[in-house]
Amino acid sequence: MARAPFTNIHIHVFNTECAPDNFLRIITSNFVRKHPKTFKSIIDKRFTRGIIRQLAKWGANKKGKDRGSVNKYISFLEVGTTNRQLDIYRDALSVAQKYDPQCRLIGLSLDMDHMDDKGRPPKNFNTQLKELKQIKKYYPDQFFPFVCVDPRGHAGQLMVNWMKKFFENGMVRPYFAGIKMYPALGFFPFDPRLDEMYAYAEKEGIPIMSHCTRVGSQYIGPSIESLIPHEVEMIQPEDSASPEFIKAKSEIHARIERYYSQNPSWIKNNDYGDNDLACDLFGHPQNYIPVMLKYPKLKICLAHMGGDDQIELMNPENETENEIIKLDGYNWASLVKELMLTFPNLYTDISYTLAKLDEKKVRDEIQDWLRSADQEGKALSERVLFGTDFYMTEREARESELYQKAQNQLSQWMTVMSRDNCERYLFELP
Amino acid sequence: MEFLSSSLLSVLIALGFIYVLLSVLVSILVEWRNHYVKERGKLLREAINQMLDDPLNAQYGLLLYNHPMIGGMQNRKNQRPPQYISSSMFAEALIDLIGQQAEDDLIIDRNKDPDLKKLAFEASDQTPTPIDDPLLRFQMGVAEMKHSPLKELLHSFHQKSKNDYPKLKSLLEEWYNAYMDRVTGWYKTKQKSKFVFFGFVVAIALNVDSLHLVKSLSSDSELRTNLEKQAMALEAKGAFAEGDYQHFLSLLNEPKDSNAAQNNQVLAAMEARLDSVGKERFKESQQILHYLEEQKVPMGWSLQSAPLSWFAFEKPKLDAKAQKALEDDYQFRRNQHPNFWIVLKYLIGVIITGYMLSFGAPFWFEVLVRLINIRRAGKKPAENTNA
Repeated sequence: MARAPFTNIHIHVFNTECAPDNFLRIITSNFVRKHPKTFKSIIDKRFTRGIIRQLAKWGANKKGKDRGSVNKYISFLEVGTTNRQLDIYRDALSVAQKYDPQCRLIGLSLDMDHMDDKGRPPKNFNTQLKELKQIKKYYPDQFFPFVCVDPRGHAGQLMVNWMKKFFENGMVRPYFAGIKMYPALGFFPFDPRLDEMYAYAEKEGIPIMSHCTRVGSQYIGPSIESLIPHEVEMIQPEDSASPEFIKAKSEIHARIERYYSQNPSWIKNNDYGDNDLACDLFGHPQNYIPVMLKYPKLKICLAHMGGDDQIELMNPENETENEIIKLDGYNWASLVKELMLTFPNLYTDISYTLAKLDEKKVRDEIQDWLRSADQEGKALSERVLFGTDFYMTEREARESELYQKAQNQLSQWMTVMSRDNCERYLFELP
Repeated sequence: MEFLSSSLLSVLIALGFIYVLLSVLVSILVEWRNHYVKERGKLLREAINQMLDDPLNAQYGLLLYNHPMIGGMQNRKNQRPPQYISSSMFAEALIDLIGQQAEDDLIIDRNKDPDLKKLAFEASDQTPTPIDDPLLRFQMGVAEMKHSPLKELLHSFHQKSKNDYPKLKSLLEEWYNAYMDRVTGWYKTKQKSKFVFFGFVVAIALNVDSLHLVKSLSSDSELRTNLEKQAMALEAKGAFAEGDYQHFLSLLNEPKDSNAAQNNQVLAAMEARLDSVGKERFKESQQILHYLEEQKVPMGWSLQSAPLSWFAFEKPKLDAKAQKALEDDYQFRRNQHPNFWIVLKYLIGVIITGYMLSFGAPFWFEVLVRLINIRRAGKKPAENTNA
């Protein structure tokens, strides 16, 4: 039987038009957060783009660490300000095809319509999805988009009815290949409004990919407190008295209280999108426990292995971890690994994190992760997927460099991660 | 009707002709600027986005720009949107775009393979075939949309077309053309400020003092008559009839030294750096400037004329009588004996020029044609008349 094609499980093709005008508030700079539209309008100018392109050309002559941080952001912006999603996809494809002409790229859409209460993106999510359908038509065997869900857009059975169109209708089969979630944009993965969606995904064998790092995009609106009630409602597993569920529920509630009670509070309405710490609450790996307990056959991938910043802090030599981890109670990377040992359908991917593979600590922890075995004795490497997080990673390294790093540092697992695991994750039925 | 035959009419025609030439130059500069900032293409894109924006479904305007028919016209290198989209192209692309939604709605079997416990994704004979009939495809595409004002509009077009593709296309074309008429209005309104700006740029850059022009045309019959003749000859050829400056330029005599730009190394170097549109605009502006130079129109910067002469002039040693005679001379007073009123008149003259040029070439085409018609209706003054 022929081996599955090389697969990059994690790329993005949306452009800056898909993000709200204030999206630059995700950058942790007070100045940018106060004037995000000004910065965006500067980036949108042709003149600025010309300068960006020129600088990117100079940057292209340099490699890896030699590239200045400005050049890295320029490369990122260069891709993000490209007009069409199709062009961005083609950029990613041209790199991946060097490894396998039949390669598959998984394009993760992102619903940013609710990212900011002060305005929707110039290109709304429906339009973003229609463009992805176009790409799918042109590249039916090489482009596998994931549809992003947000309970503020569709909820309950209506979400399922809306979603079915992406899995059961279309011109090619399968049309869309999975579901993307980005909780940090303002919702909890255990939100009861997502219950029917999980049931449908489990029944149909549709994989779910969820962002899982402390940093990244986040909700930048002014009403963060309204999104984080003190007593959050949760999906209830059949055995709601199970110790795992009770522990997770109580710890989640306690964490929320701790975040509220900080001085100054980590959860506070504000006009500048200063919600970085509060939004960590949404994407916490522990939030998936109620879901996995209720839907044990559901394939969930918590992307990025919890984040490279957390991998660096795994198994510390001394116990003085940083303030956030102390208050949170968990190192996310350690928690994702621990959950993978318990839940057999939980996956992770090395996207974005692989940019730090040159660092010994990160590399050692990832290799240890891949060698670990779950309760059934199966290696965790069977549930680690290869992905790059193109083009978010342009801030760190060029796409081709990331492929090389993975090949060089994780060579013995590369085939299984990029072919067998991805095939199973995408297409295996319950 | 003495006015009609007076030399005042000749002055007005000559002045009007100068304004025509300069306002054509303003139009060239505005077009050139619009080309570089993608003004026309951007406005067209905004207008189409607004026309086809449907928050309940999708932003079909944005999607239309991804359609090969429209997107293909986009300059990929500099991401310049097309500056013009014909109604026929718009209608065909929209019919196809809406029709594509019908294909999205075709039901596919997820093709589960129970033995392998795997979702098969290889193509099979169950894959739905595309709908061939464009009208049916359009109808199904509209049906696929959620209820919205745009859906109702498209549905009504389909109803009115009575299943006739050319009729549907023609209805969409009419809708597009009517909308574009409004967009042309927005474009003109947006352009007004640019005409004012470039009007003043030209007035200052070429040092054009309208009050000085009137005075010079009144006193210099040769200049006045020559300009009047040129204007009437061009009018006879229909140069002003279409209101289009490019048509006007095509009938304007090429300057005798048409290689002047090439001969001037700086200008040649500048031209070499321009893109094809830039080169075209550069050539057009050179044509106007050389033409004005050949006609010896009193304008431009020189150490012998105001305002530079006010600072550079070395007073000649003259006896009292000669000095008195020169002080009565208009040119001498203007250029070499500035006082508050002369400076004020100069400034007012430049401001008048800037303001006049801001009306744009079509306005001055029309004014000039009317003046020439009046001239033709009346008696022409004797050519040797000195006002």
